[in-house]
Amino acid sequence: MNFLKTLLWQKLSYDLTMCTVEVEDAVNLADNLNGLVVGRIITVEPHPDADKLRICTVDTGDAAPSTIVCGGSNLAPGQLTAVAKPGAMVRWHGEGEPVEIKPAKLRGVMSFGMICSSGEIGLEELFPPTRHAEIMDISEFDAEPGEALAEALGLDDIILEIDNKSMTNRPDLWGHYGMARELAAIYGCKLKPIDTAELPACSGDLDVVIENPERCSRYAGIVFKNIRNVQSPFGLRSLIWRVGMRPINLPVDITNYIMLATGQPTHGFDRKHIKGSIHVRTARAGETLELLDGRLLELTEEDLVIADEKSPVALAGIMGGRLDSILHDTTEIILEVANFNALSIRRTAQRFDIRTEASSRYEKSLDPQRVDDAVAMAARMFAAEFPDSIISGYVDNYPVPLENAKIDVPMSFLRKRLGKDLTGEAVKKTLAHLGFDVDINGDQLLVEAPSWRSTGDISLPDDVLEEVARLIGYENFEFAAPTITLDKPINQRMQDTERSIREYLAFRCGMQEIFTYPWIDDEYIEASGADVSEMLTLSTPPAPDESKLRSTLVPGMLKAVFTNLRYYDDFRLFELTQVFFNRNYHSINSSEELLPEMPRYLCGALVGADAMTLFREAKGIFEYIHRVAQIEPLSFSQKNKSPWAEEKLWVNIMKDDAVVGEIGLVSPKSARNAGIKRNFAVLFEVDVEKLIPLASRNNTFIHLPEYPLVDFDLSIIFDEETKWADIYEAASKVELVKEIRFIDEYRGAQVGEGKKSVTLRAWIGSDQGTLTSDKIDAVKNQMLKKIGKKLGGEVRCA
Amino acid sequence: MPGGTPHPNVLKAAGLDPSIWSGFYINIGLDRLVMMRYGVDDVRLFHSADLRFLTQFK
Repeated sequence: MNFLKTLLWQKLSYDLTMCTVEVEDAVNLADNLNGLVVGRIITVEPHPDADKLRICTVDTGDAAPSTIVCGGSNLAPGQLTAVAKPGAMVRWHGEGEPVEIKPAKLRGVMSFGMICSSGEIGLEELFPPTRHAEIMDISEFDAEPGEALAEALGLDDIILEIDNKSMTNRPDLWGHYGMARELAAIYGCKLKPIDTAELPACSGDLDVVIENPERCSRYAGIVFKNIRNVQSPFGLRSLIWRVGMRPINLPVDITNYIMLATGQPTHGFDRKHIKGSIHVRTARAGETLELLDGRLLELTEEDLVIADEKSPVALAGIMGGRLDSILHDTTEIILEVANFNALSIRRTAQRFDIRTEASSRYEKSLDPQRVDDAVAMAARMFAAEFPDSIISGYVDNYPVPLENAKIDVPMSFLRKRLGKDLTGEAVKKTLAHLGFDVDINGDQLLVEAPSWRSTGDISLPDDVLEEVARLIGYENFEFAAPTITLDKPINQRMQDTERSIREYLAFRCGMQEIFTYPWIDDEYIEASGADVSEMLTLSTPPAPDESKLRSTLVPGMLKAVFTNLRYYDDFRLFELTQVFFNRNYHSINSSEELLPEMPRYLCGALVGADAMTLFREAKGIFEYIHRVAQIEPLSFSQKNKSPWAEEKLWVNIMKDDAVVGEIGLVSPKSARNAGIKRNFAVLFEVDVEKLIPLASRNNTFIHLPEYPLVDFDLSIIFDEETKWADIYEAASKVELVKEIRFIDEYRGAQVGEGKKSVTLRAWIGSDQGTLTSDKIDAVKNQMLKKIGKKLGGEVRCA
Repeated sequence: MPGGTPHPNVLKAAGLDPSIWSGFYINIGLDRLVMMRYGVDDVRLFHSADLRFLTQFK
């Protein structure tokens, strides 16, 4: 202990983390006992106004004793106890924020401080109270009044918390001895072996039959007679408590101590309830077992149990049964020190959803050699704690001896991978620290791993490499940059296009990008009217109503609109990501793996007070997008309306004749189903993969007109439904027309019901010469005729 | 954020011969880096579409 205390715990944590396992935290137990001191009670007088209170004078190490009023039932002069003095910052029950102790009047008498019970300061597991209102009596300790309580009790200890996951492939590190072994290797000091013990050669009256040696490779049983169920001495209780286990009674605490020290779980049975031999076997159909914690298990033939002649008495390696547990009247116990197959333990533990200290160790594949250490430690500890006890029986069945792992490691392999010029001798010396035996055979090393590393942990030359590397110390390798050859990168056009679309929407159109989960809410699927039959279903969804993978981004967008309407009235959102369809399965990399259709869609929402404005804004986005994203230009038409869009205010986005997307006002019904109660939302959704990036910059130069252009306006009355796109097309096809532009439209009394007047401006010109006024009129009439014929428009005024 | 050399069995499962190929990998949780950098305490915020969160990042 002294060696560790003088070494700075930070260095220890660092070295352990760099060489062996990650140290997550270092906790100083004294922190929880801050402000508490030892006090000696001098006098105890009754309180004049309260039957249950006493007035005590307590020596707390100050010049004069303090007066403390206390309700303790066991106060007596001369007692040593735990005192919180005024001004001390104490954490009640050992947790939470510290509270300042102040002098206070209790029923009219001033009290300067508090005499504490173990529970009030978080020490009830270490000092279990035996009666009501018991103050903590520490008279048996060699302590001085005024001394810090933590020091007096030896609880000023630093506990290192080791990250469990980094120990997953190091079963040898379970147990302090395994850690000590590592530290000895890291610091190159000698490791003290665990003391051996003499055990009787005879089995006494104990008989053990291992019926399933493939699940239990070793079973040792020791029978201890003349033991008693008493409280453990403080030293043992304290050690167990400090690493987070609860002290129970001396026999059980010894078994737990052995497990904590060696990593080998042990279990004690009350001998009197075991009838006949002990059988280590799988359970038979129909057998049941009542566990220590009261649970009744229905065993299967896959579960390994410890049984006597009659029935199962314990779930092997996991938990003991209630009937044979160590009780107040136990005088004879069988101590089980055994090795069980990791997979068998894990399956059974999972089946019954039980995890214990023992089962979590067995699940990591312990080596059977550890049984020797545990047996020796048990014999010594029982003899020391119960001097009257004897070992009346001892059996050690080891049907499947473990073979140490043997690996051939070429030196060339080590040199190449580590980039260091090592000698066989140096490697042999390093590995010897860890318990490895190395035979040097020219450039080959024959490495034999110790038993505690041979349960699967060490099996390849790469594993040996890691042992060498981590002891050399990862900081002690020179850094050398790797040489690589670079090829010309492949230009992924769609990445550029997507990026420019997102930047356009975010930076120029004032929209906010969002990310949603690939699975969607049933509620919003319904609001959007999307077709569920096309969607993939998750077999283990995060929630029962979130089991479909999106085939459209609209449901997620509706939800986002709803979420944000709580705090905002006017906003713009977009998302560009993958959608999934349950169809068109195809293979990309391997023929065994088929993937469904997974195109990339862009979806957006514009929310605000005026639907028309929002719609025009959305349309404007797509009128200009081709310039920024450098894609082929888009046009608009009405072809197919999605279920979520309103009857009239929608339009398809087109690339030539193909529909690539849609813009629409969310219909009142969809809005209602999505919980959108106010304002309007205009949504758009586009299939990004149908947007075609421009192949190259190909502007062709058009010669400027030599002769001036002439322009004129025409106002024509059309039926309401006539579309500008059609008017534009008809007018543009007239000869000599260079440009047609929309100027204005008018609806009203002068025009008549169901009609509108559209004003367009036309520019005409010829390359041959300036146009005469006759020619201009001719073109005008031609245009009117054409428009009239195609679209039924009548001129309003010229 | 772990990293290291892949186990030879992993390479084999990927169809590479471990006696020819070796390598290393790093796993950097981008969400977590952002959380550490800006002090964000709930990873679900990134997928929440909540403008009160998203507009904090300019």
